[in-house]
Amino acid sequence: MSDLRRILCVEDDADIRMILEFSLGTVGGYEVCCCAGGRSAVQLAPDFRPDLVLLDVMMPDLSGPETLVALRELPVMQGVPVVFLTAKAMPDELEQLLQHGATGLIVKPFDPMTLPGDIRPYWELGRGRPVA
Amino acid sequence: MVGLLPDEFPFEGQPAAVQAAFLKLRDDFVAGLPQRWADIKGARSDAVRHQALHRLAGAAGSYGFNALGQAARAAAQALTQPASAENTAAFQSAWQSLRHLLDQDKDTV
Repeated sequence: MSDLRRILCVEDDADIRMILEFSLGTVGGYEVCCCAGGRSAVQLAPDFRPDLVLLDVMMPDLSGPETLVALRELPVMQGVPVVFLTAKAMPDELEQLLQHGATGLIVKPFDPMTLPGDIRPYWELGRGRPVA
Repeated sequence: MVGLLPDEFPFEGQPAAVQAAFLKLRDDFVAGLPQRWADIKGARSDAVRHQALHRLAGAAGSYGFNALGQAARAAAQALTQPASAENTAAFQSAWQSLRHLLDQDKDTV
């Protein structure tokens, strides 16, 4: 049974990509691939084979929801949990995002020290395992 | 930047190398703030300004600058609300907070 090892991060802000890489890679010990937009994510996913995707919502060109649709068309992405990263905070906005089919969402700003643990329940949920 | 101070950041249990790596990242983030602020002030439309504020709101707190992130979020949200005296006041208040935190020249308009 595979474990959570590889995380694909899709985020257009360079500072947030840096802190994601630090949080998930340096603190969390995961193998992290960060890209700046949805089109790059669709290109990188087949070779990287992520176990989980963190996906920004508001991005130029392909939005987070549009990227999610494109990723789901890839055979390698079937069953891979996708978690939206969003700075939106209103409950109705968050509910709308979940309607797009993401496994969950994390509101920015996130705590880089706890993010590696915060994502695990979404990975468990997305893989069909009961959450502790 | 005068007025911009990081919140205390919980490093309990983290190795010194991890702390040092984070502090380096934070220094880089701070070094980029003048350009972010210039982009916000010089935005050619409310839509562009909103996007820049939204990005700052999403990043600042993760680097330990919660007040900055909250001010950016408040300004971004005020820009998306219908025009009213209340929303104008909310935006102005948030904008003043951002100026206090980010303007290096307090006489800058």
